Amino acid sequence: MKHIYIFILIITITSCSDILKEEPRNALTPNYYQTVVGLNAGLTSVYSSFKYYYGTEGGMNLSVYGTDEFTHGQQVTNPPLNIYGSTLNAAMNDGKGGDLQTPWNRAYSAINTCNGIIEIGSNVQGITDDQKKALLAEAKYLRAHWYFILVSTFGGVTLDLGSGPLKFNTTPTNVAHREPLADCWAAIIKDLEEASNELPDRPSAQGRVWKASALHLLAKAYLTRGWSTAAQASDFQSAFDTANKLITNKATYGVSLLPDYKSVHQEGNEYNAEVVFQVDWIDNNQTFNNNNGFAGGEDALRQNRSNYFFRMLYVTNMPGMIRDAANGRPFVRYKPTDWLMNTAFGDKVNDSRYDKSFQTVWKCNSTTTLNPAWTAADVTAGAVTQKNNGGTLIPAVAGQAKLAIGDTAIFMVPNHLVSKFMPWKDKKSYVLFFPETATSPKAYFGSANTFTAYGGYNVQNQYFPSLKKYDATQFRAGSPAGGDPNTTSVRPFIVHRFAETYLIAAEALLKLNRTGDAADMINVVRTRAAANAGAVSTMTANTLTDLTTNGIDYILDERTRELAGEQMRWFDLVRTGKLVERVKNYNNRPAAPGTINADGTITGTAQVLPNPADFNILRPIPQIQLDGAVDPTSPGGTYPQNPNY
Amino acid sequence: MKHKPLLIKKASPRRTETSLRRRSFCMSIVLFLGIILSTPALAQSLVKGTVTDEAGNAMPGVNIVVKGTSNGTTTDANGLYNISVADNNAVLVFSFIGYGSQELTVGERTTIDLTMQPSAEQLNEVVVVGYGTQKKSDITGAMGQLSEQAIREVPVSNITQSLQGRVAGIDIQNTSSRPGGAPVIRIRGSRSLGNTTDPNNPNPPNNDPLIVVDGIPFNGTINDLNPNDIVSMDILKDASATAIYGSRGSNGVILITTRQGKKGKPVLSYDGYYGVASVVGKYDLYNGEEFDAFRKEAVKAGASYAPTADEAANLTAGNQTDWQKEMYKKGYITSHSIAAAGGTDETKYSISAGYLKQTTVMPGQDYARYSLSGRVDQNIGERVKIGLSTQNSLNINDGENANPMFQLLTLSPLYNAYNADGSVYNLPATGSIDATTRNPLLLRNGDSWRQQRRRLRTFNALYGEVKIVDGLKYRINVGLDFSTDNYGAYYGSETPFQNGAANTATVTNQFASSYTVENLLVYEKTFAEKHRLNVTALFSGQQVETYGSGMSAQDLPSDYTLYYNLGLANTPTGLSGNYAKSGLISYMARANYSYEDKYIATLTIRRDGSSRLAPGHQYFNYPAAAVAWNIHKENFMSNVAVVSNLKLRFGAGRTSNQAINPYSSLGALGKMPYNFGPSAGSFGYAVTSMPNPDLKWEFTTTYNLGLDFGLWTNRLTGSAEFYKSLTTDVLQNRALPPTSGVASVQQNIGKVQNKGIELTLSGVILESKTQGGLSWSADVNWFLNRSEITELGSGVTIDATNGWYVGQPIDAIFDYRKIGIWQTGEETAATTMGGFKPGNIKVEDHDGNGKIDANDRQILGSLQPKWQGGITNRFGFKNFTLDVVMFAKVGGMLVSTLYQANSNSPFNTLEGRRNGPKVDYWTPDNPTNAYPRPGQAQQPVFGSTLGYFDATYLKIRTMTLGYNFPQTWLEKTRIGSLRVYAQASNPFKAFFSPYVKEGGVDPETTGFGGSNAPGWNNRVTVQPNTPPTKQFIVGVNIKY
Repeated sequence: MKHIYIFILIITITSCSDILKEEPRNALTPNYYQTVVGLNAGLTSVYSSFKYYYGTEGGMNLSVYGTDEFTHGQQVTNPPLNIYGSTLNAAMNDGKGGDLQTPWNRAYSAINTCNGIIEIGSNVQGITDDQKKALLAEAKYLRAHWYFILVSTFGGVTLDLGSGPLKFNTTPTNVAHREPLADCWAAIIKDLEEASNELPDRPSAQGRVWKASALHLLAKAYLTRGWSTAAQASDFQSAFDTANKLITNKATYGVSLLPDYKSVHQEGNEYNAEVVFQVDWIDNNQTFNNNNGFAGGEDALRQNRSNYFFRMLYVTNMPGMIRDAANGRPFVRYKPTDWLMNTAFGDKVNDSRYDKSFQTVWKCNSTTTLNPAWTAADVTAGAVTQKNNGGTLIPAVAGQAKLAIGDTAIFMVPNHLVSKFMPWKDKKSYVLFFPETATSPKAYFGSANTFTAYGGYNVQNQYFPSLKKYDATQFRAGSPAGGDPNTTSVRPFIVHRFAETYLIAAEALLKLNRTGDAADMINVVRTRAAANAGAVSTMTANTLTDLTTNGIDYILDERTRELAGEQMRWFDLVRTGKLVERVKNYNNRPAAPGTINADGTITGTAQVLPNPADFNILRPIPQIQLDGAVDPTSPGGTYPQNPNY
Repeated sequence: MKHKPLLIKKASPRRTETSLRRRSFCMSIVLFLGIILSTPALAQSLVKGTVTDEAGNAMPGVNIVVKGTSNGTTTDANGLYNISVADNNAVLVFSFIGYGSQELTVGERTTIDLTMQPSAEQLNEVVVVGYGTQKKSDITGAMGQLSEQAIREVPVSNITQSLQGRVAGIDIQNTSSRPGGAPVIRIRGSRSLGNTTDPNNPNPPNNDPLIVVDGIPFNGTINDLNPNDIVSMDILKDASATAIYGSRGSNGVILITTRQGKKGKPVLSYDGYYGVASVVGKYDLYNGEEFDAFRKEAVKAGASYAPTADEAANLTAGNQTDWQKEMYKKGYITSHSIAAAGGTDETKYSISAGYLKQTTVMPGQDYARYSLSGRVDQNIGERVKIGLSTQNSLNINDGENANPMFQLLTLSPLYNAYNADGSVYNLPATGSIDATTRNPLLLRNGDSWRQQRRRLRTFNALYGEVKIVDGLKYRINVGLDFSTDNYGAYYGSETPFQNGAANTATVTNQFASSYTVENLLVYEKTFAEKHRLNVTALFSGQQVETYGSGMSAQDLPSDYTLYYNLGLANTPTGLSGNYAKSGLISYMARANYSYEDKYIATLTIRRDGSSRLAPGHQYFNYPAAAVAWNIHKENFMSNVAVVSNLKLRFGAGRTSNQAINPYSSLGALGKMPYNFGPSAGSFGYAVTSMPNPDLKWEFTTTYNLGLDFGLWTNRLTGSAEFYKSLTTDVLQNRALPPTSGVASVQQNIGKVQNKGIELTLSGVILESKTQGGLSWSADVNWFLNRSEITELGSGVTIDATNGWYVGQPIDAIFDYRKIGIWQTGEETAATTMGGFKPGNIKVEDHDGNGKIDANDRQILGSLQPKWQGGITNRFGFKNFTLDVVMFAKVGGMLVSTLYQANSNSPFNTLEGRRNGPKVDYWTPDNPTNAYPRPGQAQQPVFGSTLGYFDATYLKIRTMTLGYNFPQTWLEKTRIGSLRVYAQASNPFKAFFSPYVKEGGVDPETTGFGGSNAPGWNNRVTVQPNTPPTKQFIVGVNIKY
């Protein structure tokens, strides 16, 4: 029997000691930030977080339309942030907050990681203090960048994630407060001042932020605060000084204006000298080649789809056109307003930026799509065919197909060419769209007498000149020859560029009543934009007069010509207090008289079209935050929503 | 042997490769039986007689054993028996359930007639409780039981399915309509707020009960067990019964006992069935003309979808495609199980082998299980006993995630399914906006895709027992469990999965191993013939280790290599891995005390320490106490002849559930890819979960009051249970506001309460007066549970992100209330309310502020039924039996992702772009209040409100007609018993179901998530998955 008892003893002893010890081997814990590789990996994740905001539908819906620049295209998605109605607070549709969540949800996880890096990373061993300082300065820049987006979008936001203001959160709680606007700006400016001192003069490696990035954003932060209720007397001076420091030392920091506006956004010319900060997608080794047009889940949310959104519907009812990589996948989301087309770009001859920013010609890429042969009657009526826009007209031949590959299939006639092309309107092999004369809702942009329908699909806003800054035709594994039109872009998205630095400086100078200096700054940008050497004087001669007459409106006009579609417009309008006025005047047309049918007829009753009100200069806090957070210090105990939402 | 051809014929319906394999398997069984039959009988002298009951009726099925031998028989339908005995000193033991056993010495007699006496002591039956067994009359806690007979009445591929509608207090909800899916089991409701499934969490916090097989806790899927090897399931429901499982007890415990050899002659048995399955019903969709009209309405509202050339031609010609009809095929289910068991005083054994195969109505989806199990119990001398039980299985699950239902239900009925030559037309939607959509019938091409999971599992329990002194016993249980799970999926380009995009392949491998060591001391003694004491003490340790790895790739050069060599791929796309190890150390003591069998008390205490908690917070104690009073044993009851059993029980105790993953208290980083510049791809690591050293279990305190009764010598038995449980420190895998910087955190906050009533009745309704007359017995259960969140912490009463609301059940639905559709003439009001138009969904302005906003969301209901119940009816006439199993759910709601308009699963978005469920949609000429106007957008605003239905239903689970061959016929063979049966399983659509009336196929849930209602991403919903099937089965049970 004795051996049995020994057996019991053995079992009892061995099963005890190590069972309760926990050794994680499948995941990293926050202590990783105490190592050099951990610190870098933390920073990498924060850089990556901007992929959810720039070039995505969520980020672009918040900044591109609902402005004087762009209105919604036919394939509008919910929620319609272009429309300042009760549906703006999108919670009623998905219970969370729709596109508003894009900055809100992504910012704070990145901010918390920055907090962790700055806090835990200061203990890192194995690098010099200077190197450590530079790494932590990157985190400060990135944290300030997210807070800049948040504050510009929502007003005063949360600085204390749970463990104290700007501290790494180790005490998770659903209690959250909003800090005053002034405190938020103070935090942003402090981070950026430190970053602009501590970052190196040149990027430590391609794709990383450096002194120029911090100076640019710091100048913009001073400028934005200067306009706001939290303004400090020195803000505009600081904004100018900071921008000017970057301009003056541009050789030290390796930045300059490119000679040709066209090359700034040209595919293949990424990382050019004008780019001060960009978010990256490019990847030749395909490791993270996240550009499958049908990706789902997280992958879909961090794709650069800027190459989809501005395309018009060139594939529906258009002769000779099918979807291809050169013309891109038409998401038909953002349609330029007629103000942008006709007023801001009133001069399309001397100012090259219209032609260099917009696609107005679509070339036939399919001979089998809506491409009947000329009839004898056509020939009798004087029909002509044209090899390309502006080229020689050739009389039509009966029995011949109207279009051959490469022929012009669609042309959006600019205002200065209307009289030239109008006579040919019905005699061409291709479709002509005119800016002002059309009364049909199918016109490519409305005149003052037409209107903007909203809510659901509508046949309006299908056809318009399409912004081509984000064109991307890269190859994807398994795609057909010539590229896959459904591939998302893997180009970097330019967030700050040096041309804007001049415009920031100009705006600060205007506010400092140094109008002449401001005009000089603007003329640097306008000179570069001139269509040719002879156009320079036309471009620059009236700048001071226009600036004196129109003030900030002129700067806003110039910004749209230079920066159209670059995810800044909504902020520009809000910063300068012009959102309500300009959206009312330039975006929304009078109320639609009814439902516009597929055939262009109008039935039903009139729609009421909401315009922005003063409170719309702040976006509503997403419902997911209001549902998830409590604030015992606020009336009602809930996280404070912005007024009137 | 005349049944032999029958077996072969039934088991081999088609000349496929698999059926040939099955045939040879059957052949070998028959061959084996033949050998057994040829064994010569041994007989010395013969005793015969008739056994009758107390009323003088012949009793069939009475067991007669020659004491001390394995020699035994049973009485036939006329109560007759004959048995050979060695000599006059032989003692015959007569036994029958519900009757006292009698022993008679043969002596000189050759005929022994006997009248059996009903036993009021039927309750001496032994039931399995945690860490041992108890007499039924000694039980103090709330328990449910499923006997072997009840298990056999409903053939299932997953043993837990046999609990559905059978045991009060147990709610079974399906998570898949495909075989091999594991149902969700809830005992007395849910109490943990942890998400049931979390895609990032392989072992999520949940409300699943603990399953214990032959004494050893069983992790992982219960599918690994062959239901034919299981002879009983005992369910521990209240804390006084489950507290001995401490930190794992609060969701209830299911104790599974596998087949065990009995003393007696060897018994060889075969159980097999074959059945055909077909869809219960098709989804009700628009036909060609209706779809065309629907699309035209959408276009009128502003959508721009034109018919393709094919559609226009088919509409003119009057042709259409019923995609469901083209796709659905007949499925089959077959099961074969062979077992041998027997034993002597020294050795008992049981071995068995099983095979199950089940297909669905879809190509590429099937489930097969091969199992092998055995059990040996051996006495070594007087004091020592050892034993081993082993369960081994190989599960092969094909197409478990393959879901072509989207294409099947949304492709236009006017498209062509086939080319002119009869081959499948790959691109039926050519010319439409969804031109790349592939034909779902391409799934029939098994070389272009495959999805297979293979799981090998070996589960072993070893024990040794020593009698140290009289009444004191030491026992050691050692459990060893190992499983591998290998999953591969390949989707070719020309399949509905990829729709022309590059092919993809994935392989994942998962290993899990665990060991359990339990040391038990049991002391049992009766003092002064009145005081009975049983004390059990336990010290145990358990460790579980899991490890997995996975890889995926795309753009393989060819389809036929499937996922077998990812090294061939042009683009590797992902690598993954996981590892977790956790341990549990436990001490437990339990004392049962009984005074004169009248007054019984149970006291238990358990102490559990777990590695999942932070050091310093690892150990917690779980006490429980219960008392019972056997009233019918009181003297004052002796005159009340009608009452044969009456027992009152009360118990209280505290338990937990292990709803914390390993390493949860440490925090974690998540990976995010980024490129610096054109070629420097690197991974970043962001904080995804925060450290929380204060994490602990949630605690549930349960009170249970129970009453057991038996009337008319237990012809009618039953019990009633009343319980209330309070769960505190509820673990919430709680979504945090985005400003926290992490999405969620596990915290101990809040309280949940459950209370309920359970009634169980079993009775013989009709007792046959004559031999072979009509008899009818029934088991009925009825129960309800009311769960309520009583506190969420931090003064929060509404946590809409997670879908939790104080004062509501856990699965409450919080959304806008649809009250109709905005009608023509209501434009002004509609505009004022929030810019709505006629044809939009009209929801209630709950707060009455004249505007529809987030404050108008309200509680619409919950998944919690008003009550549930089940009835099992058993009829007997001559040798025929008829069993009918039914169950019902009344009240509660279901969320249908088929009807819920959701642009992420656009079945019913009414966009006009695709076909969908046939609904009564609004048009200017059809001012209905049912569904909104088509063509308004990708998804109508408030589209989630279209998917809520009353979940009430009644279902007939099975109807089984059986025939027991009379003993007189079988006498000439060596067959001990032979039963054949035909069964209809799930033969009808659910009755009384508002959802079925609307056009849904089945109101039972089919999966997790898919809903766009807030908080509903991880709860069970009714999804348009593989439709449920009805099955017609024929089967046979043979015993030698």
